[in-house]
Parts: sequence; C-alpha cells; structure tokens
Amino acid sequence: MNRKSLMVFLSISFFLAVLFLIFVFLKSKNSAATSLPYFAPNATPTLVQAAPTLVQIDPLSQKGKDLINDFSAINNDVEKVYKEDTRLLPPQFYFEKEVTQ
Amino acid sequence: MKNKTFLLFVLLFFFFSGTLCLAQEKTVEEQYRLFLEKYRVYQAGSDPYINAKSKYLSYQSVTSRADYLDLARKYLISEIEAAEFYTVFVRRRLAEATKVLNYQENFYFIKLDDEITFLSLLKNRVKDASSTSDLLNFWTDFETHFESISSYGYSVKSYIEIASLEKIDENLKTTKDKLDQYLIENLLDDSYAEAARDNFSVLEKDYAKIVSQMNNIKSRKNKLSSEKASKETAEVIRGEVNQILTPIQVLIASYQKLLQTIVPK
Repeated sequence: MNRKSLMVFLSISFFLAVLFLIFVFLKSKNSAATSLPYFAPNATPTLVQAAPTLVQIDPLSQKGKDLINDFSAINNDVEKVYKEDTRLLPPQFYFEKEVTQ
Repeated sequence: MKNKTFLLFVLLFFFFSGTLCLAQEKTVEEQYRLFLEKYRVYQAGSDPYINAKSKYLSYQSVTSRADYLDLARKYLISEIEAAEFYTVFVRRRLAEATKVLNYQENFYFIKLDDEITFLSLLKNRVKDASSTSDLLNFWTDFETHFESISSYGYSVKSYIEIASLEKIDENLKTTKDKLDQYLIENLLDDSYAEAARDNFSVLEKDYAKIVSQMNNIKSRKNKLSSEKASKETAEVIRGEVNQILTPIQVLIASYQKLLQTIVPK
C-alpha cells in the first residue's frame, strides 16, 4: 500500500469515526426523548388547557409529607443493603501441588 | 507538508480510537458476566486436565508428557484469566460504589491494580513454561496471589456494606433532625401534636441504641485495610450489618407512623 492510499484509508476512517460519534451523540439525545408520551401517527394531538386553579398548600402539612417520603427513601436504601452482593465472594480454584506418583 | 498532514491524520485516528474504547467501559453487570464466561471455560478444562495428568502418571511416555504439559498450561491460563476477570469485577464494583457512596478508598484500587498486573504477567510466563516444575512454581505463585485477591474481595464486600450503612446513618440523622424541628414548629394546641412530641422522645432512646451499634460497625471499617479479611471476617460483618438493619426499619416505620398522626391527609 503506498502512502496515498494509506492517506485515503485514514481519511475515511477518521470520517467514519466522526460520523459514529455524531450518531452516538444523537442517539443519547433521542433516548431521552423516547420517554415522552407516544402519539399514534393519525391521532390529532389536542391541547387541553386546564383552568387555572388556586390550591392553597399548607406549608407545614407539605413539609410533613416530604418527611414521610424522605423516610421512605431511606427505607429503600436499607432494602438494598439487605440484598447481599454474593458476586463479590471469591471463586474456588484448583491449585496443583505435585505431579508425581 | 505532506508528512505533517499524514502525521496529523495518524494522530487523529488514534485519538478517536482511544475515545471509542473509553466510551465502551464495561458496567459492573457486563464485567461479572465476562468473569462467569471465563470461569466456565476454566471449569470445562478440569476433566481434560485430570485425564491428561493420570495418563502421564500411568505411562510416563514422551507423548503423554507433552500432552500433559500442553493441557496443564491451558488449564492454568484459564484459571489465571478467570481470576483476572474476577479481580477486575471487584475493582469495577468498588468504583461503582465509590461513585454512589461518595467516598474514596485508594488502598484497594492500588492493591487490585497490582494483582491485575501480576496475573497478566504470570499468564505470559505460563505460556512459555517448558517443564512440569516450572508450571508447579507458577501454580504456587498463583495460589499465593489469589489468597490476597480473595482477601481483597471479602474486604471490598464488607467495606461497601459498612459504607452503605454509614450513608443510611447519615441520612437518618438528617431526616430525624428535620422531624425534630418540624415537631417544634408544629406548635398547634393539638392533642395529636402533643402526643407526637412525647412519642418522638421515646423513639430517641431507640435511635441512641442504633447509633451505638453503628459506631461498633464503623470501627471495623478502619481495621479492614490493615488486616487480611477472611471469609469469617466478612460473615461476622455481614451478620452485624443485618442485625442493625431491622431496628433501623422499625425506627423508620415508627417515625412515619408518628408523622401520619399529625400530617393532614
């Protein structure tokens, strides 16, 4: 392979690498978009405008509810620790000591 | 000029290849799956190795010796590879826990990296082994190093368990203090609020017991890196961790119940 063809090969590789990175970048952006609700192609999206309502939130009550949720989150962490990660236990191996009769 | 352009392309090519390799860093699950694959390869090599060994011991011929050496090399390499993948998995699991738990433990990373390097070198030396005695020496080296690797495996397991518990302890204290503050703010002349405050004082005693147990476990974490952890050590720590989890859950349930009596639906 002469230098010119090597240059062409490297240019193509570089171009493909850039394309691949763009693809990975776009894919990561799209994956975030997939979590949005899906509309069937024929369905007409309708905009439902909710009438603005004034809900008075009792700050003390909201704080209490937040605390209940915080305790639930800690409880979930406790559940995770309950599950022992046995994968970390070392595997068993055979060690040859001698090869004589 | 042409030479410079050529060099630039070569450098860019390697830069992008490196970037792609880094982007494909394995997750803990992938790393564990790879270890299992290697371990199965090692297990599959057990019977052929034993057969070759018994043939060699029975006939003592040149052919049976050559067959034995070949299979012993392959068997030992498969063992070293499985151990290597296990060590990488332990390292990866520790790295993941470090990220989540927000603590640093460089000691294990350094030790595990040393063992990974050793296993990689040993594998190459085994490939060139030409005698049974060479192989047996490598096997002894492997056994000694695998003892250390096992110890790090047990240590990392216990370390992650204790560090997770510390995180829970930290969050529990913060939330409990918030609850304390909430009860002070909730100064309504309400019999429920009054009862809740009394109840909270009673629960403080349960919390103090948990703190005491937690301190005992925390002191074990510091000792872990200075002594060689064994299966027994890991089992004792696991037992202690389990013992403290139930009272924590009971306490959390009591705090939630207390809150439910005073928080309007």
